[in-house]
Amino acid sequence: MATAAAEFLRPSLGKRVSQKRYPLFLVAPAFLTLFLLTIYPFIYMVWISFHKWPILPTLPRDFVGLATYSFIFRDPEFWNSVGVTATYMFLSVGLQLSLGFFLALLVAAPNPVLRWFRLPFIIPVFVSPVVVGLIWKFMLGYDLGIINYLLRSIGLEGVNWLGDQTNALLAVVLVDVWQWTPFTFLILHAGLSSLPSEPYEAAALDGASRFQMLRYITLPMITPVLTVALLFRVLDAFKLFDVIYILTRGGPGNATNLLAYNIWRKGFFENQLGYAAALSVIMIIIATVLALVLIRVMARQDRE
Amino acid sequence: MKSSMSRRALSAWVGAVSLTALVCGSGQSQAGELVEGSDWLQRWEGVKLTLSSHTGPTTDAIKELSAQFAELTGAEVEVIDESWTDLLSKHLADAAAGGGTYDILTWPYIWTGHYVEGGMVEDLNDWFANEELADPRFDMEDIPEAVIEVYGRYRGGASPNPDGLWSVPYKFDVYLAQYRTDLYEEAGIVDAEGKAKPPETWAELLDNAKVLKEKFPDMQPVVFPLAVDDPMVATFLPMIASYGGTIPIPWYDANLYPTFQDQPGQDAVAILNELKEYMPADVLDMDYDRVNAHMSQGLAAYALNWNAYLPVLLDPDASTISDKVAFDGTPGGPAGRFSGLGGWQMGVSAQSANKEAAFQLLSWLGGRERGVDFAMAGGSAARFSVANDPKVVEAFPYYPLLMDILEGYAARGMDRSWAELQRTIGVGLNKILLGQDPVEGLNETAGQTFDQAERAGYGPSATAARP
Repeated sequence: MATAAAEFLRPSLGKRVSQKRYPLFLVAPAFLTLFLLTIYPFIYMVWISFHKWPILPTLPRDFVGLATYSFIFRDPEFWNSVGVTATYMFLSVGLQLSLGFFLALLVAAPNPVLRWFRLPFIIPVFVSPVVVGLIWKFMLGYDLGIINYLLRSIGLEGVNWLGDQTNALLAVVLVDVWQWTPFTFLILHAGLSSLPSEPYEAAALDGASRFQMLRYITLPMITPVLTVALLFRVLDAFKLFDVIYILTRGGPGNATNLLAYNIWRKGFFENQLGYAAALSVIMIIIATVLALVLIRVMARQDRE
Repeated sequence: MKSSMSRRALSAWVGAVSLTALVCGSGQSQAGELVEGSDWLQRWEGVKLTLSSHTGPTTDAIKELSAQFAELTGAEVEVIDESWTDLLSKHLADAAAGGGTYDILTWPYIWTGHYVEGGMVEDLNDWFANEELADPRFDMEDIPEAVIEVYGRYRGGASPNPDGLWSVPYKFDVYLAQYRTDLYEEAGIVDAEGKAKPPETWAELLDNAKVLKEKFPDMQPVVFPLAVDDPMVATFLPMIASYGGTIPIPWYDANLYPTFQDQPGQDAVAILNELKEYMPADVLDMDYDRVNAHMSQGLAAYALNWNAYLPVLLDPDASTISDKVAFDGTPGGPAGRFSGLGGWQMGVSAQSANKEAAFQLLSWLGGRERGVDFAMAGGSAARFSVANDPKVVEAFPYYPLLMDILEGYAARGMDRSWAELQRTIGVGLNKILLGQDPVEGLNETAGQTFDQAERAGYGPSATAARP
């Protein structure tokens, strides 16, 4: 009887096979989407990077192996680009996190007036980067810009924002900080709001100062959220193109020639898709390594 | 019975419609039938032509002429104007996809290598020889030979036919000087008649700048477009030529071996470095638009720019100096005075489905008989007849200066690697103006352009080893 029941309940061979395949069917749409939109284009990009590849098929597309990579690593412009991107990223993301954290702390304070600032703080995030670039281009003008006008009206010298190598990079950082600090503010504000109140109550009973609470309670507890914000902003900073395109075009000299802008120029303005693909592969590798380091840090924090 | 009838009627109707569509869609229905009153322009009913270009007054003028062509021939003409920086990639992508979206392509001559080496445009020699299609009064002789050479031929690189005529002028651009007559006169920089005297040499410009700075401390004596890339190189072009750079292309030789690092380049950089001291602090961020704005707002006494930008300075609604600005050729040096040549050209797309109609449109837009209308509508025409027309000269007094190119001109590159080389040269010159040693900077840049030309498949090492 029991055997008959087991036999009855046992699925047929076809059913067993389809049960085995069932998870595959579930995963297939996601895999297919990922393959078509990410994996295949990436493999194709790597393939192109081994070629001299003009857009026009009527011109020769020669296989050059690793020659393009070899050229890139010997090219001082590439290393300049890497240096400029790293400097910009370090300054910009660092400032965004610091200011975002400060603002989040400010708004988290039990002050009803400051809470009204939450919305105005995040407005820059909603503005298109191209519009941001145009607005700042006007504001940073040496003779007619409002920023220099304000500086001069209080008796200071006007700053040559976009015509000087150091200042131009700082101007790009300034614009990026203005636009994206609200993003880090938003994430950190959410993180601070979700912190439990018990540790603070206990610390207050023990007589801890506000600074000690910040240093020994808030910072350790908010670090995972900070790391997430850092990850987002670092990867985003790598892609900065539109603001550079509008604001400086990579100049003066090559002071603001960030990697992403360089890739656009090589690919779409100089018709060197092979070169642009090789630069993109290198940029993806650098970004992936950075992301892996940050993800590992996050995993360690989770374990702790 | 009824159903069979209606099916038959439907079939006949579909057949008639298909036939009509086939005949009209081919664009050949009216071919050969001349427009009334014309001895060359044919009827092109049912044909749609698309011209691709960049935004600006020249394309606005082209739109007006295109509308006349459409009215006369029955063709539908669409003029697509967009940002010039995106145009090359769009044209290349369309050609690569075999789209045939465009019938007439326009491009600046610095991109010609892509269009000719890539087989994107027709050789117009045969088309102009076709008496059934060509405008008998197009008058190629009315266009300066130098312009035909730069805007029409492609002799370098891997040209499929060095004597081919790939295009005709679309927008004639010459680098010109603009100066404030009131300031020059007030500062005593005048000729024998007491009229403002523009500088004939770069050294004279430098002397003038010193006088102007002292007389008007709040005014910029000079402003040049020196932003990295295109403006930097365009400004340096007449300078290096006037100090003895090879003519008409002072950047490299036939093998793309760099030559700009030689003595003429060093001398030109030296004078530019001195002049920069009398320019706005942020001049390395100034492109053509900003220089024009600077000038039109009365902030500078002397500027260089393409003639296409100059109508703004003469417009009292847009300029504070419309009644006190005059024009001149760019200054010269020990080797003479040379005009920097820029500009755009137009050709018939090799993928056009309506090449005959496209060629007639191109002939209509560029022909001698429309030259004056084109100029008066804001276009920049490269024709003697236009430059000498009293109506045109009265409206745009700088027009006769455009023909200074006959006395000597300098041009940028046309090969496929030029966009990359221009960027490298622009960055190199910018760095020198920011303080790098000129000789070291020029040699370093020359080495980079040598590598880039070699990687692009040209043979600079056939001339000499890497500089």
